[in-house]
Amino acid sequence: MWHSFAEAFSFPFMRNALWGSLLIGIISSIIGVYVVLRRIAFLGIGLAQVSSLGVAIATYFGLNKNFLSLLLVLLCLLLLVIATRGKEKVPKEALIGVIYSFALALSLLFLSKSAKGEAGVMESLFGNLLAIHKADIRNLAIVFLPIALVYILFNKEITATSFDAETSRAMGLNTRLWDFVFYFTVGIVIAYSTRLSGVFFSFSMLVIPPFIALLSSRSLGSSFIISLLVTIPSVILGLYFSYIWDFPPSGMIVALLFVFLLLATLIARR
Amino acid sequence: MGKPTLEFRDVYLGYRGEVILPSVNLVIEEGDFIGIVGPNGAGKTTLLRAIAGILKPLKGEIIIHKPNLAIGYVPQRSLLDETYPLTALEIVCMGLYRKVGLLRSVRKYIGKAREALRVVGLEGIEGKLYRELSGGQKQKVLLARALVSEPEILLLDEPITDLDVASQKSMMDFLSQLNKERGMTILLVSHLLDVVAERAEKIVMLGDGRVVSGKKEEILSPQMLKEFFGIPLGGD
Repeated sequence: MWHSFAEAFSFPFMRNALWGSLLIGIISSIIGVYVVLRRIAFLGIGLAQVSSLGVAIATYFGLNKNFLSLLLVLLCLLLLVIATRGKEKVPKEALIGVIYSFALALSLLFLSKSAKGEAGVMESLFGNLLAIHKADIRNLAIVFLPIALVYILFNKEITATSFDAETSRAMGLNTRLWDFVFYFTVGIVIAYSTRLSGVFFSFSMLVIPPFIALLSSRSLGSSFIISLLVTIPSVILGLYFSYIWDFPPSGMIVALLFVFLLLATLIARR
Repeated sequence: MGKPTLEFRDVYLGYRGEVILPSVNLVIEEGDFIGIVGPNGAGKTTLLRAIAGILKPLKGEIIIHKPNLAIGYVPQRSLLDETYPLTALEIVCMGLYRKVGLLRSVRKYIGKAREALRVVGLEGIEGKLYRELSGGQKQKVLLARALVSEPEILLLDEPITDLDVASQKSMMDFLSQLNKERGMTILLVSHLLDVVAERAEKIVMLGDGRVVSGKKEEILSPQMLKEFFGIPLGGD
């Protein structure tokens, strides 16, 4: 087995897929803990679809994909903040659902007229981890490592704001700043990861590992660790199994996450 | 009479431009024990949020007479999300974050958080998950979080709601003790008029967009109670 494992990762495209998926998985599994705890998991798929729309528009008009998907995601976050300020007339979740549907519809329209046609639609949804280049990995590292650092250094402020913003504010914490930091970084992570790995993979990595972690851990600190411990082997083994059995890598990685989820459910029930 | 700490001058409070409490005039003095009462939806929490600095006034002026006034805030327990896997000690430590500052670990101050838990009578539950505590214990954890920041004013939103009678008494005894022995200014929102009336010296009563404040004896007259609550309350 070791021989075929080494063989699988001897190819540059597999190594690129490994580093790219690990970077996306690691950062998503950290910030995803807050996404799940704040009950905004649906925001993950909504923003991922908006990011995908940015890629579709950029492809159609020949614009910069990273820039446009990030711009649309941040505009969408701004719209959500403005629309849900004060007392909500409709739940935020419903608005996210509307945004998701519109973004999906527009993506389909733009992609159907693009050179890739139907293949482009599939790629925007399911991505292609094997098409990640070295330059993409460098870009991901440049963007994601500072974000990871922010979450390590300002963990207490982000946690307190997330858990009880009102009291934190009353007791002198700048909760508006920390809320902005949270939503801004979520937007950046989703925009970059969706562009490279598709809506399905980026959303799955944002929600499933943190969900498993929160199901089986008894502290916030261990939730982050379990989330990472679930992500890293799933990515490595998922890519390896996809190589030897000829499956799509993102599907294989998420299928392995499902195995972890079953194990966590069994452990949680004991 | 203590020195004025915080003053509302013709303050209008509300959300998104919609006024809920017009023309609030209120003076909070050092060492006050104030009960904020009124029917449901009268704006008690809105007023408390304004005092805490969470809600900015639509109009008027809130004057803080003491520079760097330390405020301790105890929110309604039901508003907190219990899915967070946080221990009692971790939650109490949040009260220290401002003092600790950015980029610094709270570890150095952990003794203070343990002491705050001991003061509220929760020694030995430091490592227990918040969601696994009883209602009374949760309330005390939130109180310990406020106390650990060494506040000059303590604001509490419905701290005795849903507690059994013994826990209500123990909480009110503790608050009275803080007020009398430490001279801490306390503002407590509750719809349990009788419990509040027993301990508070001053009352702020809200209803139908009106806010009146003064000594307990003046405010809790049968006439005023009928005006604000619509029905006669109290026995004597």
